[in-house]
Amino acid sequence: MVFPMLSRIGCALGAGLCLTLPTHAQDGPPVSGGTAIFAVGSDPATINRNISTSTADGLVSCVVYEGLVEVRAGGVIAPLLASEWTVSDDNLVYEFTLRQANWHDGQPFTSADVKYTLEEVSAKFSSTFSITAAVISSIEAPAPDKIVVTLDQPYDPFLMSLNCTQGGAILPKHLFEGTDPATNPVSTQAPVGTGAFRFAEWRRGEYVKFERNPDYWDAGKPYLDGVIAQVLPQSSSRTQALMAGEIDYVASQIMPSSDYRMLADNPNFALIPSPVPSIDVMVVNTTRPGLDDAKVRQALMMATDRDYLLATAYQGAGAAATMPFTNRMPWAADADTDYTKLYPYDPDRAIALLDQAGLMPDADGTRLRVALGYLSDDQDGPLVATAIKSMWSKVGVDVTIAPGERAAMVPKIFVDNDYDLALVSYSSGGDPALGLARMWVSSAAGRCCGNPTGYSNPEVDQLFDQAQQAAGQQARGAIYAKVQHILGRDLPTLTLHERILSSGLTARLKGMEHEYYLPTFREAWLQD
Amino acid sequence: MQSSIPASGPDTRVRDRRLVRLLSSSVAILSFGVILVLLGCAVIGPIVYSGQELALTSASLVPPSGQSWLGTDELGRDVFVQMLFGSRTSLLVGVAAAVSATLVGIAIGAIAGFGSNRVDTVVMRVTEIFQVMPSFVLAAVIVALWGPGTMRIILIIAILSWPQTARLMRGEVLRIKSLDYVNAARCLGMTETQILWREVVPNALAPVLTVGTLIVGQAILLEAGLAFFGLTSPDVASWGKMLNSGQRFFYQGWWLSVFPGLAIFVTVLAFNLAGDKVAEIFNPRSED
Repeated sequence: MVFPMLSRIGCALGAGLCLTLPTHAQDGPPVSGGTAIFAVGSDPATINRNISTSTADGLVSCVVYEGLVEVRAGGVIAPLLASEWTVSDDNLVYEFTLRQANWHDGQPFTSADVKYTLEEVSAKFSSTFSITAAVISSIEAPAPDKIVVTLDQPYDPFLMSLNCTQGGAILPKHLFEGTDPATNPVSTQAPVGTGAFRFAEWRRGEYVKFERNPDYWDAGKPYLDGVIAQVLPQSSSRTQALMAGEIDYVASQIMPSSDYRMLADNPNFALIPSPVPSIDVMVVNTTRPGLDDAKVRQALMMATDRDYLLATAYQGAGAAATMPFTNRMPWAADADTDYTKLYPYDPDRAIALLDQAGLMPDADGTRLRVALGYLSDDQDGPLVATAIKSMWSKVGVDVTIAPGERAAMVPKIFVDNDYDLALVSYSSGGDPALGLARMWVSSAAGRCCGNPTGYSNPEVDQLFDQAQQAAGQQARGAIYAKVQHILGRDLPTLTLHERILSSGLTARLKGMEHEYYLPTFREAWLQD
Repeated sequence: MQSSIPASGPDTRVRDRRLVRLLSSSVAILSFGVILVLLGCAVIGPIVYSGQELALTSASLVPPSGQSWLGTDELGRDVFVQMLFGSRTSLLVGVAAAVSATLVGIAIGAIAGFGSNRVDTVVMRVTEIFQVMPSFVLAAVIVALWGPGTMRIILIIAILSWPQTARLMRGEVLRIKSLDYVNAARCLGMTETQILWREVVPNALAPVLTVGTLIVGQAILLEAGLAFFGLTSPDVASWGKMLNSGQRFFYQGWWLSVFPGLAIFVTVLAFNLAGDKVAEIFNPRSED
């Protein structure tokens, strides 16, 4: 199995935090035994990723359950419950061969489980998988080890959506059929999956314990005797527990970014950058006077020193954004759309653009007054907002910082569009069609968490549609490049920062490098 | 004419003696000195460093040095400059809240103490209702509901602090109104209102004002607490806010939390010691 060179990505992107992880050659062969303890931010409500996108639920779900495929770091799609598959020439029919595997209760895993799960649970209950379900025309199970999925139209992210993170974890039909998956005790009390670890004990508010699955289909794995999910609600207490050796792993979603440097400086710990691209974006309400002019938005971009934000507000973690999409999908990039060349930090040119847009300074030297919002649980929000307030004061734009609670702020921004500017972050989901298009297409306006900008461009809508249906990365990339060209010029959103979240772990926990968004501990082992 | 009434208040020799005692106390001199320096910082600092409140330098998280005396913060802002602007917020909130609370407390306490029994009972029960409110929680709820803002914070702290002044004022008024000089004033034909505001209130002020000094300290602490929990305006520099953002970087920049923390500690201590000292000296029982 190829290990993608993900551990170096931090350096490759010019991030301040360069991480080098020990390679497997130095570690020697994996050792069996031991129990790894990882943190969860709150007591899970349910251990079933297909019905919940909450982080705590996700972190424990993919330890027990598996999808047909796994996504390995770097976005590589590898076989999991499906041992192999073929795709028809028109990219519409996917034929999977399933592995010989057993459920944790001893029942055999068959294609009936797959058909049931994808049709009856994932399509109906998973907010992520339902996007994929919309293009599925039929799912057939011609044999216990065969499953055939036919799509209405080509959909490149299809395979990727069949993993546990995206809500495609396969559930046992014999335990779920005819029940409500949300209240079924298999979801809420004692999960039964096919994964490397099986459920052992759940002490509410304290921990969830999993033990090695001796009957695992991948003989020899897992190496660990068990894993424990420890509930640690305070972000600072997670770092402290890690530093004290009480836990071994804090997933990227809940690892406080301000502690990255501390772990990076200590040889007893390691950081693994999350492979899921995510971007920090300033969304602009393009219906507000002043902000309705693309020249003004371009001026604001040039008045924003993104490298400075990276070094200070983001503590050097990640990279400055160079295009509307994430930097980490080079196949979708447009050659002409490079923010470092289009909109370098240049207050003088920003002022010239504001002049052209007719925004002249008043008696106080102020050209434009705007409110900049952020969600009060965004720990970088106050820093970014304060720095931007300072930068923009140099070009005569007066910023009022207006944070708000998530529950109030999200509908205000996304549903009512009652804001000037706001700092939000978008996860790409690994593909522009899965996570990014919603930011700009007209059809995603008016609901969370889609397009809050008031920007509606039929050409952009059409190109996103085309790209979703086109086959192959090259063809899709060419269309996305056109979209990025338009978005880079119109700037309904100011992409500021490429977020690279990192998991923190003790150096003795090995084999976590390939893990995708939610950990499975399939290949993890503890060094003595 | 009324001022010629001999019993009206302590005579000037007593006042001089008290001033001498105050000035001979090193604690008093130190705490008043600290308060004066802080006032100077709050007034002059923001003028000297006008417009530099938000200035970003190129270096973030630089330890204290000759260039930036107290280091720079996570955004590269000078901590010393931030502290100066923060002192303005702290002192403004502290003093303004204490003054308003004292004025309200004096008025209500005087009415309760000098009015009829029924007035006294009603007013004091209302006062007790305010006194048993958990002030920090209430302040947090009010800010969360109606939003932050320096004026609002001052108002909230004033509303939460007046009962202690009112109770003290009432006690003093009750004591003084039975003194002989009050009866003398009544014999001279003064109305009850005149007696209250001209004869009783001025002589009840000394202990009330010392409590006012203590309220300054409490108000500064409450403001810092609200700011620490992110409940004050994000646009206004404040020590509590610095403490809040500094705790994230405690391992990388101790100076971000230590200096604002010290500033809050020293300021509150200075106001409390000053208040205690003044109370001790003006307390009639501490004479000789």
